[in-house]
Amino acid sequence: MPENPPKLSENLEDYLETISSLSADTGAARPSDIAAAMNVKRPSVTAALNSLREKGLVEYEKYRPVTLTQDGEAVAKNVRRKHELLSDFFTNVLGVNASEADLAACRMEHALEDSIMKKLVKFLKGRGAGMCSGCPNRSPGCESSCPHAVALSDLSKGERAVVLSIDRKLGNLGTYAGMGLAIGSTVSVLRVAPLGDPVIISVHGSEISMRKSQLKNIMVKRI
Amino acid sequence: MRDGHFRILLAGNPNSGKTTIFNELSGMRAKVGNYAGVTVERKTGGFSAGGCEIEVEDLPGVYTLSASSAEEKIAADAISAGDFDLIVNVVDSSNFERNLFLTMQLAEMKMPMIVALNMSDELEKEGKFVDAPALSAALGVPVIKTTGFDKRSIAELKNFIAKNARACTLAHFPWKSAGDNILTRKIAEISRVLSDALPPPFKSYSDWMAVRFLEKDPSVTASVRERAPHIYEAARERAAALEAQTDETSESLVAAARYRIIDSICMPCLKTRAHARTNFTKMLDAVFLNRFVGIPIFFALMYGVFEFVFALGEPLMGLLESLFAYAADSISASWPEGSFPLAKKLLVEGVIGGVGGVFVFLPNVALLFLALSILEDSGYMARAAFLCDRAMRRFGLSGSSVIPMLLGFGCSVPAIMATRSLKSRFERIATIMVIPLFSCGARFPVYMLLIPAFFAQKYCGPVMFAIYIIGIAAAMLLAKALRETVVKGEDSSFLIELPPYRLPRAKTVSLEVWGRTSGFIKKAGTVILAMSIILWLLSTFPEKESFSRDYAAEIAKVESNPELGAGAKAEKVSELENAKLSEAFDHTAMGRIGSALEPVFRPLGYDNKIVSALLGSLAAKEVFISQLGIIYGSGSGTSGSDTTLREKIAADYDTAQGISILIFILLTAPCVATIATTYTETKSLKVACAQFFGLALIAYCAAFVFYRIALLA
Repeated sequence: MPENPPKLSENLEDYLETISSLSADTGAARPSDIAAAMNVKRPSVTAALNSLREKGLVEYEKYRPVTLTQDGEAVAKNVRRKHELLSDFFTNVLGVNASEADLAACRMEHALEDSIMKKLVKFLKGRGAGMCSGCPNRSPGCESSCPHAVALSDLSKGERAVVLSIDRKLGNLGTYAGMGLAIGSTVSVLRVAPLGDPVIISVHGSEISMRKSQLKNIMVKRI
Repeated sequence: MRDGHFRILLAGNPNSGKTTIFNELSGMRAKVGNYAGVTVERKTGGFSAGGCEIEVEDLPGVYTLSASSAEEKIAADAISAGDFDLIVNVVDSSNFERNLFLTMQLAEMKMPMIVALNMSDELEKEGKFVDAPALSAALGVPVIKTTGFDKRSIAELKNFIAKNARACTLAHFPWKSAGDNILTRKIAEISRVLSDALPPPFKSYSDWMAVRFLEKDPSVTASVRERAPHIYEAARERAAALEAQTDETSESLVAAARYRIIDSICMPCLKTRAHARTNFTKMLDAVFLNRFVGIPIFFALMYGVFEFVFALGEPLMGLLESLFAYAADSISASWPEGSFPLAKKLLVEGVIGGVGGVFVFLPNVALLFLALSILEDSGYMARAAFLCDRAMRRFGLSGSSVIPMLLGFGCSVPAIMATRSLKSRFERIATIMVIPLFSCGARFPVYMLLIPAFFAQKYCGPVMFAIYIIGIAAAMLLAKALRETVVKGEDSSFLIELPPYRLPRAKTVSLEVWGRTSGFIKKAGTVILAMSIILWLLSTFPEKESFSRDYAAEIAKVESNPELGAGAKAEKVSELENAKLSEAFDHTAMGRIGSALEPVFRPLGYDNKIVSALLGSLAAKEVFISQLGIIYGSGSGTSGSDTTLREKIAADYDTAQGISILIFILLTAPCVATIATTYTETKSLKVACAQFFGLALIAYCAAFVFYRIALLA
């Protein structure tokens, strides 16, 4: 992300977001697709694209699909983060239903200053709320470097946590899922066997028993 | 399906009370068999309600349909085969959330189904209840609350099934409420791809197939790959893209999403009415799984089980013994003098002596099965596995091996079948190999016969316990040895559910005990009867015509000797009678076989009678008793004295020989039924042969050592 991203209008931020999601979904963002997705006329799209090109955020030639520059991608990513963060805040903290939360987040994402966003992130982390899907620092492979992630085997008796990721090494994940163990599940350590192993965990209302060596493959976040 | 005739499947999690419902639905009309090719039990039954005949099949209890174990595959296959009118999904209300995972999988398949919310009474005790109409609306399937053991509730369920078997609305596709995200978009994409490849009547299956594809369900992926390789590639590419984008396995994403759907559409139906009362299971676990007393309690319970079987069984056994003696005596007395003397001998000595000798242990066997059923149904078995896992791992096994091993105390055959719950093949083979060392219910009568013959009454309990402990120790050592050498590696996982404690239902327990006990009776009536007759023939012919000594005269001489006291007289008489019997037996076919093998067993202190009984016991362990009964002519009044088989044995062998026999019986090669089961379960002739000869060798060595030590003492 550039040091000082150029201040953009709400409208242009929306364009960047749309281009980013279209390219992620279909591999290419054609001006006609953009117009359709944003429900605007072609000439408006052309004007907006020209403006974005001047700011160095998109690469655009007539009759060719639009691509985001590195800076453009950074701006779009930043906006999307704000969107997810707000939406997560509304649903998980305030208990607003998902579609209303999404709509409100859409309007507010542009007004949210980066500094306020950082404070909101801090607040949400402090609460330990939410799962990885709502985490503002979510990126591929982030579980391994997440400062809040610990292996389930490191939890002591009575602690509660949310499952962040499950390593394929655990074995047949389908069977574990059927018994209640899935990403996003809330688990708590109920009891350790008299001989120190295995452990009983409670998940989705049932109690299952596993060895510590298996619990090592499950990354969780304490709550 | 014929008019008014329907077929339903019972599907549900283990411990959801499915078996209770099945028992209540089908009454005593249930048939137990096996699924083709595998040894998973297949139970079918039927009932009539609302003017319809309804056939019920009880699918194996599974947590998921992902088809990774034999049980899961059977359940998944039975459902996708589609030759039924209705699925009855039994859901444990007190474990609502987790149970609904399977419900979701069923609903995805858009099959006609109803949900039976079982154990709703248990949930109400916790101060909660499920809003059934709301759940029905959320899932789009009819929902009924049931209490598995309540007659009225079962009658309602029967009518509900009959009503819905005729016309049942199909479930909503639950993923519709999952919202729009990368996973649901991929599911839609894969569904479109699959839909192109499916023939028209099956196009509607593409949705659930797409979900299962992402779950990497082996049967779905395999069938797609087989029928349309290019479609498989296209779908797999999309699944791989999903994994790359999210950095999670697709099966994890599907599972997580499924729990989110449950959370959003079903959990609102779970309502709290009052404050929860104290949790019964938590309180019991605080004691049973306690750091300090948990393991002592486990051993105390195991000891309690054997005391229960031993102490309670003894008087009942005495009763049966006198009953058979009475039968034998009255047949002997009322038999027309001189006509068919051999038929009389066969009936009295072969049939009553052989089969009756085994039958008298019926109370003990039934009590043992009763104790095991109670342990299993109460939920303690799973706790035993949890407590023992760490210790078992030291021997290369897992806590899950404990349950088959404990079942092994009942019978090795179901125990070996129960090892299917073990995921690792090596662990499983090691467990199967040592299961016969967990002294089975059939050996138990042999100990019951022999221990009081060689030990004073007050030592009987401890000696019996010691026998079992020696068996366990031998099993653990053998398991360790096997895991270190022949079947090493593959440190498998341990994954079991700890169901809530439940009071075992009298009906469920009695059906189980009856099922297993009737197996014992059937065995006594068929295999053991046939063996008894064969062994009687072999042990009677050729008959000895002239003896080396005139026993009758000698006995008469002792009887009339005025210098001897009553006790000494009886001892001398029984000595002479046994000597006569031995001489008569030596002459018979079985005696000759025994004599031929006797040199091999001489170091262990056995004579040809014991050797022949040991040979017979390969058919079934109880035959050991039958054979001795035949040789000693028990059940017949012909020997002129009313001593029991046990007294005759006590007179014939000393304690050192007794110990040697006990050890040999405990450790030796299992019966043919066990070996056959080992072969069918492992599909390996090598394992079956290794079990047979390996255990025989171990028994020989151990009996030799024990005999020599006992002789010194």
